[in-house]
Amino acid sequence: MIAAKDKITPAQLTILVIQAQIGVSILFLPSSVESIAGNDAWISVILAGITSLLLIVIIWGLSRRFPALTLFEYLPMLLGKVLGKIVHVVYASMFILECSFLLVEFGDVMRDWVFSNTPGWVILSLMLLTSLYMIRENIRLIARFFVLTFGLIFVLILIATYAYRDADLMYILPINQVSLPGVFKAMMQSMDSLYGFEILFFCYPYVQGKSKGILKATIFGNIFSTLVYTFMVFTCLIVFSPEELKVIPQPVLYMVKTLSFTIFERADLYFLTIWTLVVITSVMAYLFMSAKTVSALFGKKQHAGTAPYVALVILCISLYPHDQDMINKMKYIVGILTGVSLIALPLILLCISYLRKIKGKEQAEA
Amino acid sequence: MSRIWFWAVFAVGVLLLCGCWDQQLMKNERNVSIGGIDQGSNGMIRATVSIRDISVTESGTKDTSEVHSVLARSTQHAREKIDEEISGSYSAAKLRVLLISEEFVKNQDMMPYLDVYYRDPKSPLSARIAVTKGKAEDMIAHKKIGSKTIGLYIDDLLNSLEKSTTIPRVNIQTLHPLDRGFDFSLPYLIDHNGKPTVSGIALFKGVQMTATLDQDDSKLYLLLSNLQSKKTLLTLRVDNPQKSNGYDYVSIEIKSLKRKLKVTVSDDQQIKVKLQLKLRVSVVEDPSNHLYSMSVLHNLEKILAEELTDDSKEIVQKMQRAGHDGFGIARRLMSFHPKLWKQINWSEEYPKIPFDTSVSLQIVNTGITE
Repeated sequence: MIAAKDKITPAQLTILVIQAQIGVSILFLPSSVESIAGNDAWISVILAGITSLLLIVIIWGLSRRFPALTLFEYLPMLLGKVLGKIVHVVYASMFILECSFLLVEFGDVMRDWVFSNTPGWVILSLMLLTSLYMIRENIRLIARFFVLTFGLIFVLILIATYAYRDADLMYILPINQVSLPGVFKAMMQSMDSLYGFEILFFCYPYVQGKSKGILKATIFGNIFSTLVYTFMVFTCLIVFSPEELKVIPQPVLYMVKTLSFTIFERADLYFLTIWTLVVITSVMAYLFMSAKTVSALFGKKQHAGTAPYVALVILCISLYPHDQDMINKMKYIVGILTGVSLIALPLILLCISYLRKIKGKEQAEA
Repeated sequence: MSRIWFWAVFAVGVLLLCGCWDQQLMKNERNVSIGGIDQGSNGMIRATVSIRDISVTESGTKDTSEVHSVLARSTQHAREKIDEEISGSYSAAKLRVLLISEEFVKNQDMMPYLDVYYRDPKSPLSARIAVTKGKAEDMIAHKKIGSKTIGLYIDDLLNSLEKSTTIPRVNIQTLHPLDRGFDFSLPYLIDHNGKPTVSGIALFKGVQMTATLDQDDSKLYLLLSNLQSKKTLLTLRVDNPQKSNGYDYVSIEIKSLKRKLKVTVSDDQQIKVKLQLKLRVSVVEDPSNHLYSMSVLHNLEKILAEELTDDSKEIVQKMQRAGHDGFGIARRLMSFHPKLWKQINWSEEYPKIPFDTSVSLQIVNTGITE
């Protein structure tokens, strides 16, 4: 039974999902998608949004059958003890690697754009310590912090909108220049940025209200993040020519760098400052999920004790890659792990749950 | 208790860490306000910079500039060499204007020398860029014009001309040369009696300068490219045989502008361009006509429209001869006719495209007299 004071509202869930989804890739997505899908990159992002919608429905369908439990409490019920533990380890490594990868990319941007001489471990440990401080608390406090910083996403959008001054709509024409497989491949690429909705696994029992309301809240969050990503990709596509996007890894920053307002210059620094907060919410979400998963693996009820160790592991992993080659390799590994644990596994679990008619006990309405 | 200690140590640590590694103090930096690139000997470049110093004394602030010139292999190399010459560390972050000599942009590709500007996060991408007739070094050697240092002077000069639609709004960022489907043009500076003056614009074909336009033509060129800025004034000649010379000119201010650019491709792959400019103007100076009569007004409209059409046709021809695609015809072909674009040789095709250029004009306002 979860106490009423630990519960969150569906609106808070929406923002939790948005903040977990929108993170580093707001800078990276435009050029990485463009390199595959060309002018049609924005279509791929929308398609990825629709795909993640389906995944959300799967996760929701699974959680609905165990309304009082989180994923790791019903894993052994579905898969048995040994297989359950193996899958559990897969999830734990996925969350830890995903969180590390987030920090690797963050550290990269910080090194290239602002702090060229500051050692990476200083920046990353500051990020992790701040996140650690937050995520030792329960989900309700985290949700409140996310709501508090939610408005900053709009500031990012506002700064980016200013770049429409130099926009030329003709850059996105001709539409459908790239073949369908290209668009599909780019869609898989942009899926990486939309992960974060899996926080539903952990929140489901804590959300007030009926399961339909929970689904609605999550879907709404997903639509919002998809729109933000699409907007960013679209803006970059019409501001930069295709050739330019190939050589600029963080087009959004490049775009705002030239904006010069009457009183201040280098809008990219302001953008980065706000972006750091947007990233830290993602780091918090992933660190929270990693800590929860690991503590469940060791059979602990509270995650506060395990969190520092998990953070240390994440720090070590994120300091390891130091060239583009290794980052690409890490990205590849993370891609496979997330694909397995967020696309394949939930579907399999849902099938098992339906076929073997395993269900959790109905939760008494509080 | 131990937790409080932990966070206290953490907080003190964070405070002490500020600026440990990436700290740049203004007092140690020497800020370049204007830079210039000239052709040097043996494939080297001659780079000239003016460093602006502000000294505050009891009688107020005083601007001084210090000019350095080096022969270098590349832009970054030049920076290092200048850094050796000057006291304090070199910083290009506050660069306002980059000058490039005509000789340089006519003979070689300037883009390799701009690469460092695109790569460095601290680089001044919003710095203006201009072409100088003669050497950029000589222009910067002026040091001071009136009470303004040369960098500030040229920056303000370009800024005010941008506002009056005489030169295009360009900076290092908008110059980024990759496959945009249109060619850029840059302000063209000359040295007029010891003062830098803008004589018009320099037209580029790709990265090479091929022609220039004078101030009158460049205004019309910008209108035809739909790049109108805050204010545009045109002074045109209207022959008036009965009266003395003072009555020959009419000044108009462009109130609003509508440009139509249509690129059509016929079935036999012939590219045609239709360029229409519709202007709504107000008369600000017209000594010979009294515009209370509608027939006089319409007559004036007709004369002005014809003159502008003729001028526009000349400009378009000049652009085509120079291979300068300032209107972005190539971009339109890429976007709307991608198949054709892949087949044609653009630099051969462009000068042959027939342009149908016309300007129409409507007077909406005549000031407080008619």
